Amino acid sequence: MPYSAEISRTSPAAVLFLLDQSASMGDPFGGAEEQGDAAPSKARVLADTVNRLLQNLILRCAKEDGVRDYFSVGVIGYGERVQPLLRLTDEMLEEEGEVAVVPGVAELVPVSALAERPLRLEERLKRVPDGRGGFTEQRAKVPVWFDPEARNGTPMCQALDYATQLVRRWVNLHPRSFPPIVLNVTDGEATDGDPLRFAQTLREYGTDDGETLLLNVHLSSSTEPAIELPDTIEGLPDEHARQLFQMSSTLPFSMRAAAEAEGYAVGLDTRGFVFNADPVALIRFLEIGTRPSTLR
Amino acid sequence: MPPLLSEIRTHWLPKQGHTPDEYEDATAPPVAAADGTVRAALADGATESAFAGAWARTLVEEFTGSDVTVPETFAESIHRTRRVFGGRIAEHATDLPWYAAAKAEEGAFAAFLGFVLYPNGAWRAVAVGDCCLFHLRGGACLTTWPLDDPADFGNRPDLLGSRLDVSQPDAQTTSAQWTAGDRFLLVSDALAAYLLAHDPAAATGLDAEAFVAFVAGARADGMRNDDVTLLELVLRPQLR
Repeated sequence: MPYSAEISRTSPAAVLFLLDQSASMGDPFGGAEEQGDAAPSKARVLADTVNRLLQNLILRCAKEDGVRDYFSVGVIGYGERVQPLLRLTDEMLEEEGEVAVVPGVAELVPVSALAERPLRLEERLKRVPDGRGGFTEQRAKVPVWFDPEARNGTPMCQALDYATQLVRRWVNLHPRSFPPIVLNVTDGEATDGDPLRFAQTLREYGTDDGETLLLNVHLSSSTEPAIELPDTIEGLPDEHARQLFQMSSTLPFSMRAAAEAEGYAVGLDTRGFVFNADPVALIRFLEIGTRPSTLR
Repeated sequence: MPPLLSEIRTHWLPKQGHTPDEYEDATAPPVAAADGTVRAALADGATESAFAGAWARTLVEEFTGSDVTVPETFAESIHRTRRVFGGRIAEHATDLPWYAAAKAEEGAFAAFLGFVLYPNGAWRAVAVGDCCLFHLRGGACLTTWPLDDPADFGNRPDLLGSRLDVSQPDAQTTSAQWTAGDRFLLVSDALAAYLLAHDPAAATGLDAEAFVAFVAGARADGMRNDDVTLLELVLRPQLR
């Protein structure tokens, strides 16, 4: 059965985020302005969400004796330019030594290296149960790896091409691993060509366990409700939505199970795609997309 | 050896590709109380939590050393076990990196199976999650509990958490009668699922070498790669 490879230190999985950093990401989510909220920008919500996901991914791999390298993670931003937002420096590569750093793919960082080197630790107040039925505030250190940015166009084709180069090198080195998972988050149409062709090329690279998974989230700029995990192209509102649908992989078994646990009705044709996502739908979707299977 | 028993076998292996010190199941060898009651236990620490092995060990040690005989007192005993565990890990909890501090705060999780044999011919078991008990007589398997279908082993079993302020899932309980010569197997989930799909009796009477070969064969035959633990208790053949 495809998409069933065990994820372990000897057979890690790659998770790659592609984040739209175009100028429109500086606007709040659709509907937020109309409601009169002092709403944060889409870029801010996205950076917070992905930083928290990276934190959770590390915590899933953390044991009392350190962080186990079940995953390597990459974050590529695309806007003013296409650039890795996480990267092992030569110095870090040297320090890592024995750690499972992928030669030539410094943009895919093992979670243990990520855990040791956040950009900064921010102190935040966290609401926790006080044990007497109420809540109390507690200080917690929260790691941050990258900050929001919003400039220029949407070079999605270039970003997909960049991802393809990384994925190709990764699968050559891990031919039996769970296939790479690429999560693309955007709020607009590509400004540099037809991304479908690039998406198809990206997905064709795979391991013995299946093709690369490409999941797409479109962030809302209207008050229309989100279309989450559709299983048919029928009824999608426009050409842009249909294009993103076609770019998206069908969900493998483990992600269908995670989606069902979140209350979604899913089937064999369900695509890893959300159109017009609000922040809640974004978080839910990325959680599902980073649950490839049980860790070993 | 508690007087009710004639044989005890404890076997375990870590996940394939893991070292023995990464093994996170735990068993406590059966202990006989002054009145002849025998307690044994098995726990399976959850991979995604830290200190899971230590939590599993604390659970089984506290259970076999306790006077818990009825399920109603189980919840109370877990509260006590959490305090013991909290004391044990507190000494490690200084100057941790951010992820270890967060992980320690989440607490550890484990599935648990406790088993009690009474000299009067009864036995009881208490369970949270997917560790299984097999009751065998002759070559036949009389009971498999709490799960009896390999398809019931999911990735999200109920688990006992180590945090004092987190509610615990309700424990399941069962009881029945034993007869001289009966065998009981306490088995962690991957092997339990495999035995349910095959023949539980095939896992009885194994020595250490035979157990390693049995597990290797089962893994080659599709058993999930997980820590495996088997505690076999054989009751004395003569009448009580």
